[in-house]
Amino acid sequence: MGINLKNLSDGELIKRLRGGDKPIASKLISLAEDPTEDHTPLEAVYKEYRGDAHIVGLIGPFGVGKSTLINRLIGAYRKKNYNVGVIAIDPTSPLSHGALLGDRVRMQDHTNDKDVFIRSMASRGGYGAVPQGVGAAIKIMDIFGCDIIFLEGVGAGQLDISPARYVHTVVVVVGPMMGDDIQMMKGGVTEYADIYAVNKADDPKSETAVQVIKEALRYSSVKKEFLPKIVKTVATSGDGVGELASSIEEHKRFIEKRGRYGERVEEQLRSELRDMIVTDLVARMQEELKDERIQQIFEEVVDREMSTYLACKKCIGLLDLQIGNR
Amino acid sequence: MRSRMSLVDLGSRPYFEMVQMIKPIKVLMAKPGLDGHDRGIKVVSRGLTESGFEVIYAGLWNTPEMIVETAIQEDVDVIGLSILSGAHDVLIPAITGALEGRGLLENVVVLVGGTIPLEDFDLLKRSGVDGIFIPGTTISEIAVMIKRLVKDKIGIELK
Repeated sequence: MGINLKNLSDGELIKRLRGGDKPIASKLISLAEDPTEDHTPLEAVYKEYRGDAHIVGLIGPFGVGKSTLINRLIGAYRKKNYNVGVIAIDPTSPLSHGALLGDRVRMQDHTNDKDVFIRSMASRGGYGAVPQGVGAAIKIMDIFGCDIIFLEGVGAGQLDISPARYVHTVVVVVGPMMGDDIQMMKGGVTEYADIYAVNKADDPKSETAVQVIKEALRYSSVKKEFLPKIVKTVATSGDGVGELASSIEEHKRFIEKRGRYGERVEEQLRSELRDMIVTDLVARMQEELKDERIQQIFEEVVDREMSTYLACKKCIGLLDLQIGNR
Repeated sequence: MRSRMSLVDLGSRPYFEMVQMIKPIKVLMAKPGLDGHDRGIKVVSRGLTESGFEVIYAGLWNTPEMIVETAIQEDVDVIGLSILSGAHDVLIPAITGALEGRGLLENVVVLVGGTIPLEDFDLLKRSGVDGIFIPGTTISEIAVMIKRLVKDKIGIELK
């Protein structure tokens, strides 16, 4: 809306971003999300980025209350005078390519606060349901002045772990009906948790959920540096949110003391670049697959003349892997 | 001869292809004021999502300032305002006025939907509204109108 980033020098861009200019921050995030754009203005952002903001990921199934919890957490952190950023991801439809971004509606109370920046993002087919713009958005919000940034995952369920690589602290949000101990033994979300928020804790069944998590943690053979905290919350009333915020702070202090804070920032930059390369290569590959000889192999598989395993080997053999040069 | 079942369209449209696609149009959908009738905005939001738009749903009870702030933070191309309370003659000019105050009215398409009497169309248009949809409008009419308006007003064209 109305700003041409290319008319700004790097110095001016960073100065305005540091000064809390929301339209500039917003435009930069849009640029980062759009792979077809010229990304030159982002050079200044990446050079300026120090990694001071605490990045907290909230993951868990849809409808469990992640957005409503973030709404409460914004309130808790604003009381401490922190500047708060939120990146809320919702899924892009693979059919229509549209998306209904409905997380923000739970946080509208904080929209007019000049020290809160909330941005919705459609997954847009990003690697592991993390849209391409997330990495840059974190950096933009950091320079903008956010002390803490909440990243809300798509709520896809068990394998909704990709956002974990972008954050310092992982909060897994579950509900009272989260399932039995077998669910907790499965690989995925639960292995990444630093904190469990058992939301909707006004439901008596939530106590069972707490016990199931405790049991699962006890039987785990993976020795965790930080024994995950379990916090009961009621996002609609705000109960337990103070304790959740304390646990988030405790985890931050823990990783800072271990010198892991900066390390996470470095890991994040590496995985961001890896994701970006993989996403770009896969997109380019889609073009390559239209090759006639490759389509022939597809047909042979369809006609049951070959397994997908053999076909895959043959296709890879046919692909010119020097695609970077095209 | 074996018959071949055709798979859902999904098969020919790889998920990853989306990253290379052209930027989708972003639409903010909000209800200003104290009107609580949200069936219409939900139907339209859903329909626009299914038509390939990215819809940010801001829900009920938004003040004009909240709508402008949200539009800025989400960097939207279109603002869709649903109103059935009869307060459109006050609330809509307050929103377009606030957009103008921030220098944004020229760069965003403003649409109003709801129970708007014909005699109020002129007032809303003069305040900066680009399109008005009254009961009976279909989703496809709205989708076509949005595509035309973003092209004409802010120069975004979908391939």
